[in-house]
Amino acid sequence: MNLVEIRNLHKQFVQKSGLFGKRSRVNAVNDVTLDVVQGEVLALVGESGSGKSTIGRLVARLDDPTSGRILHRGVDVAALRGRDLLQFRRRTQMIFQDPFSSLNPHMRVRHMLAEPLRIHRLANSREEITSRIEYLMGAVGLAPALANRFPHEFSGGQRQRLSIARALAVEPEFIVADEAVSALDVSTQAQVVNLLSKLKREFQLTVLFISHNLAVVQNVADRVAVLYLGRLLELAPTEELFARPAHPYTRALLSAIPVPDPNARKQRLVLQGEIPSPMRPPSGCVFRTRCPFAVQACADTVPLLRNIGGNRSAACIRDDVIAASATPELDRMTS
Amino acid sequence: MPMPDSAAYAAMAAKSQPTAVADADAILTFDNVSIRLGKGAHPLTLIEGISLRIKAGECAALVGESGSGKSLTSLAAMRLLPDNMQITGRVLLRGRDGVPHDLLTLSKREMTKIRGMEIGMIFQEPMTSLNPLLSVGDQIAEMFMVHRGESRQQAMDHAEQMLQRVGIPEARTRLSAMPHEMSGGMRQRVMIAIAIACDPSIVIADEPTTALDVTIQAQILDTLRALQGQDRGMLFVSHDLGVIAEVADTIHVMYAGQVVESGTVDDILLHSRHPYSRGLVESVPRIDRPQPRGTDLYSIPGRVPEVARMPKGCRFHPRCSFALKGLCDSDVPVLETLDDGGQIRCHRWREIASGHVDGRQEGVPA
Repeated sequence: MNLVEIRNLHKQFVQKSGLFGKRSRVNAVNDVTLDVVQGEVLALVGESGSGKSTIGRLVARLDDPTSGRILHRGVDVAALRGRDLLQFRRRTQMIFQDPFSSLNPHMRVRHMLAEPLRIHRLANSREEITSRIEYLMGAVGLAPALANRFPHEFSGGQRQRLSIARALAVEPEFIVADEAVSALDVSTQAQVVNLLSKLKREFQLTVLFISHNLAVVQNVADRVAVLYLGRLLELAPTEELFARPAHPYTRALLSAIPVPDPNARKQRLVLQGEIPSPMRPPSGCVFRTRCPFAVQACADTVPLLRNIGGNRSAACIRDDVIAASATPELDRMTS
Repeated sequence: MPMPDSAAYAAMAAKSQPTAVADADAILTFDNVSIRLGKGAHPLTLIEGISLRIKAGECAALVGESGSGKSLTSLAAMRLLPDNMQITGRVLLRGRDGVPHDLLTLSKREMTKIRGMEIGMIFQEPMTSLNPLLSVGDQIAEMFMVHRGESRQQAMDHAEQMLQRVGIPEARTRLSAMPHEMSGGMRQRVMIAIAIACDPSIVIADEPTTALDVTIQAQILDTLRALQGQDRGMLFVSHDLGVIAEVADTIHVMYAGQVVESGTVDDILLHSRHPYSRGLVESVPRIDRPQPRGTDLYSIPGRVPEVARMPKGCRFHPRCSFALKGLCDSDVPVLETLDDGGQIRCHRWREIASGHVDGRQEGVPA
């Protein structure tokens, strides 16, 4: 069952350049259609300007789409008002990247966790609130006594645990985690990733996991959506995506990740050129300016995301390249 | 040909006695360098007794988590620490005269000449390191004008060559570009051009690719490797073991202000003997070695200690699964130098290396 259905989503930001400069439009998200299946961890991956964070914000209704629809349990999120909207806000929670700026520095942890409980009337008496806070602190692996402290008294990893506790406080069903472990040191990062996986199972959560770290994504996600300049280029189950990336961009992205093994200083597929400015995206396929397989036709038409077998889809017109993704043939084609 | 600034050398020679160093190949040597914060009776020790050597053509990496002191160590070499920190020990740089000089004894003015000329610097965020009001051409040309006394025209020609060397297309027209008109990757290329403009003997790169996207990072790492050269040393500071595996020859693992293990890239990444280095390598999720999805990633329990509350004995013992009561929690381990040139700071490394102990059974609870 689909918990969230994203249909032809567009988000345009208007940017004014200079004092009298003309307005330019940035298509942050361009015609993205995607489902989030109940109970899955769906990862959105991509580099700067890919639109992954914008999609996260739109799905959590922190921002409104320019066009297109987001359906949550079949209901258009944009149409929610009043009590329904409050319910939606309770069910969908966000965890942000920087736990230093996303926690109110003036609030003790206790108050920070109690506030959503009061707003959503999830605990009525003082005793109930206290026991709920103790439970939440325990769930994220922090001593309940620490609830009397302020955020600055915690380390980065602990603060991210607090962000998770705050998100869990209102018994959500859907978590949008935007680079939730990216600011953490590697030893702490692994702790928080493990905690998220554990809580996802315990609370039967559905998670939209936004990250640029593909190694972490490989560990936590059920499916992966690869974005580039606002467009969805590939969607596949995690194992298949990492074993046989189909889209040339996915291939390049995986190949660019450095691994801590000196024997792996391999001949990588280093992409030439820059990520184009989202204000002036290339015509046709957005990736064509850096794609080693681009042909004239790539400039003419925007490739549609289409099924390429199994549960996989990719947006690329080069059938031969897609078909060769599982074979060594592709390496010959590159050189 | 780079022209040594004779005045700077005369000043250096007068000030610092040339020091005999065991390893004549060393370009940059840290000799028992400590950094303390605050004056008075109880200054906090941020960095304790760092000793390391970087040879010509070698890239040495400092790796560690936040608070390990890796960036402070690199700033110390450039003498860019804030005034409330005191450095002790020696930082020896082999000058163009072939003689090592102690950077810590130089005056501010002398040091300014060394920076840029003898030491190139690349920082994490090029936007905050570049002057937003000057074109990138001017900023590169400044190096040639200040350090080599070139005319603006000569310097601009050299700046154009530098832009080409670091892989910026249409170098001539890019000279007049302002930093904000460039992408993060291009700005970092400009930083690299400035850093190597005067052909310094050492380049210090502090997380040079951390702010970049992964496909751009791959390009910049290629560029850094291509420009490394036979005569130049590089001190590469990073938290990313994957990036380090790409560029480094030797690795110095830092934890809580100390080096806990040093060795070649292979030594540290493939068969490390220190429990912390091992844990750090293990904690990195890897796409080349996927573990079954849903299984927990390896993580080191606990967290890095605060400077003011360093654990007794070994600083890593509260998080170490090999820690022994009565030894690791009371006796401070020394940094031993091994036959193969590596260094290690652990009471039990021999047992651990030989596989005779099982850490999971005997740990002291944190």
